[in-house]
Amino acid sequence: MQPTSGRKPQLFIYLILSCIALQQLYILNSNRIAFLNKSTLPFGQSDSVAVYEKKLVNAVSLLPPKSKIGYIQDSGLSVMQGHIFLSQYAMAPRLLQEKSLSDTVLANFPISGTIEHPNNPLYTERKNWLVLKDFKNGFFLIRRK
Amino acid sequence: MLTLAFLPPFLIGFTITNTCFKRQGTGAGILKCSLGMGLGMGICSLLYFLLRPINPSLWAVMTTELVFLICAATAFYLFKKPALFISLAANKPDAFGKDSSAELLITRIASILFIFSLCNALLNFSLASLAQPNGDWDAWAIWNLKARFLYRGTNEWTRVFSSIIDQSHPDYPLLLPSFIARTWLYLRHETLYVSICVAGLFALGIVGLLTASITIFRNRLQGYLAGLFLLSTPFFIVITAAQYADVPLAFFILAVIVLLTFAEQSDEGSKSLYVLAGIMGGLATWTKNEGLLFVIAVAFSRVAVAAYMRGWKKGRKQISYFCMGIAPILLILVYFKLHFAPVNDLVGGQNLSTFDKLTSPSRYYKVIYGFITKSTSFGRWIGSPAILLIVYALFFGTHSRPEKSNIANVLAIAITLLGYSLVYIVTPHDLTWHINTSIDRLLFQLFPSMLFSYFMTVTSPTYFLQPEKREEPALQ
Repeated sequence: MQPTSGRKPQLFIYLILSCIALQQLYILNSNRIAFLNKSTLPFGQSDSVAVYEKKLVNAVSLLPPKSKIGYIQDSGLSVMQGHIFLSQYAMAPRLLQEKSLSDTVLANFPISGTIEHPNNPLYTERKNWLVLKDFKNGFFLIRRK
Repeated sequence: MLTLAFLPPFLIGFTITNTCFKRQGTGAGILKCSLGMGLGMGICSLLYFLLRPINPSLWAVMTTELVFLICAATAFYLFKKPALFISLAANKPDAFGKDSSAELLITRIASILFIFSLCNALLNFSLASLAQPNGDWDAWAIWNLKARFLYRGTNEWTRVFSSIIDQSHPDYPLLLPSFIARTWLYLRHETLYVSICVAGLFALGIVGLLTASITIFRNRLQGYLAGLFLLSTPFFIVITAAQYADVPLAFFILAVIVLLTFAEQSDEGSKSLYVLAGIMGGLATWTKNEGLLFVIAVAFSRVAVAAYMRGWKKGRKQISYFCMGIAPILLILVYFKLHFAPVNDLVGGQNLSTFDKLTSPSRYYKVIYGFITKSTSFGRWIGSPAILLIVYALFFGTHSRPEKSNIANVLAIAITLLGYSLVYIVTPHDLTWHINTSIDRLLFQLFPSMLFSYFMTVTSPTYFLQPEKREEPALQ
């Protein structure tokens, strides 16, 4: 390709600008789709983070900011969905420790619903745990007896 | 109130940029505003971090910022210099012609398309931010989480570095969290608008910096085209709305590249531009760990080019000015790394198996394959932008005289990419998972700088629309 003649580069630059315009129309279409699928909820209350913050608002008020508690979740909950991160984000500056459970634990059991359920990760040692508070949304505050 | 909270960083950044960068005009104005906003946010972030252990009250933060602003303004009046002469567009073979109607028409169409693209991008960003105001995974798992610890944890703010939340990477630098926490302090409450505005301002800064610098160095059409390529990349808006630190990092990397190019292409050479580039490099290290790799790559590339072109004496001086700018921020980073941050997971995860990884051809293959496949489909365009850019370069060719700064910029980007590849090869994590979850973001960090280097190298279409000024490009 040699853009020596006068019109060739002109046509080529128009072609490039057309490609960009096409790409812009594609973005505009994605904007249209996003606008149509826009949540009707108020700002900041539609995403998964907001859902977790709402669920944990009572737990936040119960625990002092200095606290360091354990965290456990239903084995059916995918790690890839980041439930521990979402909970930690809502609970900050309280620390949630997942690896070795401390005496007080924030339990996220939306699937099993109760410690008495056979699929619950604490089922085998359920007699060692006391439910301090059931937040009625899948979250529990439990304590080792 | 939100605007007022962003005013001190802008004033601080703009004053410092204005002190170092004396060029006047609309393009230079946009460039200084873009540089100033990012620079100011970076400096305010550092000031807040330094004040956090001593006195994190609003008055202390405001007073420190005010003192800093007064110092910057004093420096501006003390170091008044004549306007910097840069042998730019007027002397280039592809400079804007006098009365070419074809040029004017194409530039006008490009400018309209640019404004439309900018509005389209703003709309896209606003809708994405409405859908996920807390950003994406890394935003709430790392950056905004740290901001909450800094702001909410009155005396327990150091819990942000606890090994209990090691999956949130407590060793990552704090530019973004610290600035967000500082702005919440100004507003006296947490609001999602702050992190959204910070992300948007850095993205706008990248667009302004890229478009204005190419316009100044080359011409308006080339500048618009560079901006259009960036704005037409859907991933640019996706990652901005995700509130990831890769956007600020991409901004600081681009700022270093642009400022060094300005400094090197000014006839008399400008010490203050090297210092400013150093400060921007320092802020890149304060944004993400990858910034440190980039700064090393920049220093090495400049030394290598200076040694190759036998300009070692001048090159040494330039490097020393760059180091003067970066040194104070590196000191703060060292303080942060030694005093607060735990060991990085990629460093701490190294053991004897590292040698096996380094000698494993399959890992090299995986990394190279990952980079090639992701590069060709980068940006979530309808087609491949790489093909479009290659065809464009083949059609218009490159400049007959490759500039020293362009060679050094390309070398810096290449060394950084090599560094990223090496990190992948020795990663303690599963290699496929690591590549799949991060390669897009790593490429994005360098994407605006790649576009800058590309549009600095490729001949502008205006050159071919001015028959009287023709000079054969090197490559066609």
